[in-house]
Amino acid sequence: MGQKRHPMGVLIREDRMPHIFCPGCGIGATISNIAEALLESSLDPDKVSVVSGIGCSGRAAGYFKLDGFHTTHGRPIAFATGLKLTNPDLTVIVFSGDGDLTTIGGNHLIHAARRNMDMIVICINNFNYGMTGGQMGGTTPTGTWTTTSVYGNYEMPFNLPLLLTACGANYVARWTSAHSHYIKKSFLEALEKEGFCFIEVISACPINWGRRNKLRTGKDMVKFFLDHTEIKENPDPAEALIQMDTPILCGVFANKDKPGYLRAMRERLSQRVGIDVFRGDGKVELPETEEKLQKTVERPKKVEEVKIKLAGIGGQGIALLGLIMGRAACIFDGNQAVYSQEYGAEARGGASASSVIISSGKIDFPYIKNPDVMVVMAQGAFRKYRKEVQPNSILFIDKDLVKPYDLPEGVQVYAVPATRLAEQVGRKVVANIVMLGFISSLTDYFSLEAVKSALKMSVPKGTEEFNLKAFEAGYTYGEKLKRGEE
Amino acid sequence: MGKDVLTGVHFLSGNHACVEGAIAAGCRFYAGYPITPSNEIAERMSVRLPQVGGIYIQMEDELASMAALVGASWGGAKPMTATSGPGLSLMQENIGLAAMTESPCVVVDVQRGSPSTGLPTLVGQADVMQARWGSHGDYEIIALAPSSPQECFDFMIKAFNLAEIWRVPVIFLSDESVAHLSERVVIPPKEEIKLVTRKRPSVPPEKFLPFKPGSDLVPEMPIAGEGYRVHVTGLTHNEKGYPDLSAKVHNKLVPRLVNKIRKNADKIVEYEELFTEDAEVILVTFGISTRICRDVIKRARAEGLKVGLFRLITIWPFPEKRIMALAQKIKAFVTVEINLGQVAIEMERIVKERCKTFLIPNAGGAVHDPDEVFAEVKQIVSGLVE
Repeated sequence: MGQKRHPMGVLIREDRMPHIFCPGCGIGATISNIAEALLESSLDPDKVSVVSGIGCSGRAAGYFKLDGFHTTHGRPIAFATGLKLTNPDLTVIVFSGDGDLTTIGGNHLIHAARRNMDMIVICINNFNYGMTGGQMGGTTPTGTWTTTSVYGNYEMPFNLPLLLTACGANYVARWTSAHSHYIKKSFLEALEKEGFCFIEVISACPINWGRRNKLRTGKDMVKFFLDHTEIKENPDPAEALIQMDTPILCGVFANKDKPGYLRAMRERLSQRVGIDVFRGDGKVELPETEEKLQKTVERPKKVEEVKIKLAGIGGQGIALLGLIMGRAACIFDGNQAVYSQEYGAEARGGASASSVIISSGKIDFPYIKNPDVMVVMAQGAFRKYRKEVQPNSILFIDKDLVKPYDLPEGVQVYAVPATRLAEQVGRKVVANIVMLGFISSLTDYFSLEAVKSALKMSVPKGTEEFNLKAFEAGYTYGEKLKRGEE
Repeated sequence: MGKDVLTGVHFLSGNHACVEGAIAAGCRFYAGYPITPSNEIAERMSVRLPQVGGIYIQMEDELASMAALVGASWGGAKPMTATSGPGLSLMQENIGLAAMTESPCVVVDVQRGSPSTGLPTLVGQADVMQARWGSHGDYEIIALAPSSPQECFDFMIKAFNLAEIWRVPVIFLSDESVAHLSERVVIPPKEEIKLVTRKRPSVPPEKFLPFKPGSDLVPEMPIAGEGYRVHVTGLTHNEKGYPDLSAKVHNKLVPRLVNKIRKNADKIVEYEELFTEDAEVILVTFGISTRICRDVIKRARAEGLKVGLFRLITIWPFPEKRIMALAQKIKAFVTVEINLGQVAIEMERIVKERCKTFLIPNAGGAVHDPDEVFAEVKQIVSGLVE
């Protein structure tokens, strides 16, 4: 290269010349086309990033004098997604090959197109894996020869314009590496657009593909492209399948103005969260919000460690019951509590359980082997968990729904018609809250204010009063029971 | 809304506490793919990140999620994803890219029963080795293991800070048990949370070498769009960032990537000790198993047995020095972990003949039964007396 400057020296890393591309290869020419187009555009090159995958075309990121990222095989679009969403001010160009983008990276390609992710993808399609010696891939035309299709390829290649159009990309074009003018023009058009823009460049690979397919030199390949392409206005992507005996259809297959990912996201979120800017680097001014500080309780309520197991069937709100107890103890009484749920297939119906341990001290083992208290809301749950009822423990049951049997010695049973009382309050679903009121009346695991505060924060907005009524029903029943009135 | 640090007392699950820790640490980018038992992290992130102007994106798979993290990292984000064992397997490719390109990021792995699909809803701790060297080649990462929702919050802040300081992916080895326990979590005031960000270029672009390390072996990191026009590649590269496919450059780069963690291990390693001053037998553990061991030690001490606890906070790098020192003065280490001996094998390697090593394994699906562990510990202790 000597002292001669590369005509695109401003945008090409001259200190990396000579490049790795073979004589006659179309990649270098396409890099030049893109560099020329970037120069013609008014973009600040500092704000342009190029992302490539692996392969001959994957080396492009290393030749542009821009922020350039040479990533893993197939993943440049996914990488570029992270980059763009973190800093939406960047123009992000993915420049990579057909094997990289459409075969190993096919999943990322179709999903980025579906999302209309804001980026421009230049896909060099040279029909084969050039860097590894010319193997067939997802774009190798049927009937052609490669080092792994030595009898001729019998697979169908992707029709990329059809695929990308179907996936929802805003802009889809195809040219060949012999069409410099059109490549530049398409790229400049894409720069003006938001959303996913895809430019396929059918590219000469005389060394690894051409010579096995009677196109031995770059010149042969360029001549072939010029003789065997058909450029159309508004071409039909359904006719864009590449076959060796018909012309390669070129043109702009899609040119839409659907909102790009970032705009669609903003339109959906802004009003809902009261913020206009979303970016992964955190450079966002947050609106002032009211300080809602939940202070540490000064003098926590003293409580001996108690292990409570709650059992019922799906829909009874057993999990919520445990959560409220935990919140009451932790947040409002200043104690420790551990809440856990049985988390298995049985959670999808049938009996399930959750457990809460409450203590003034630190709780090490977070699960319950021998519960001090069991709360059982359904007969099926009793059947499943009755063996866990310990001698001299406490058992809370829904009087109408659970008929206990074979209890060990010394079990203190407290029964409340929770579901019936809930129905009287207005809805059966609050039977769990009736039970909570009942337990609160008969035990001292959490203070009354704590459990009411926890209840209010745990039920859907607008249902607080209703739930408190259910709580009172259970609590009153408990108080009456204590006085011997029930 | 619009609140990044939710100062106050909360009752949170481990997974939800991870989210609040991440956001408090400055994470504003999450890319992930749903997998049990990590889903509550993605779900809460999808609610919380928009509220603080951040971005939640659900990618098409874990390969993409991890690639997006590396891209986001170079865009200037403190990025994060969450997954479980099978997803971590898929992420390994780009965890390697993150290690090679020194891209700070945090990967939460909520471990479940494994291998393969294993036990999706039940606990495991068998990703210890996958976390360390799951990707091909020589590299070192940092891995942390929480044992409670409070630690999920606290350690997430640690994880992001470590990722930024050392420019490595940090693997947050949670597990299904910690993930699904709800407990008291105290979130401190914003000004009390210490955050660290990566070293930024100290010289202008024309003088800058993006992969020239400082004395701590960590290079300064530019961000895309700042004018440094940096080239970043997963190929072996020189200090300029350009590919240099020679043995000479490779033997400079890869040892540096490894040594920036190994040689700085003293600054990274964290552990917790209980009753180790007079212990004759020390239980070695991490994550949820810590709590089972604490319970066992309470009982052992009540019976006058000199049993102590050594709990790993960072699993990688491994606290070799301290373990060697303890090994000189005790009779045995007993590793308690929900796998068939992944930390235990590291213990054997370090301890050698200095003292005995035992393992109380558990293939997963449930945490160890403290009664059984206690019985085994007692047996080990009595065996050592003879």
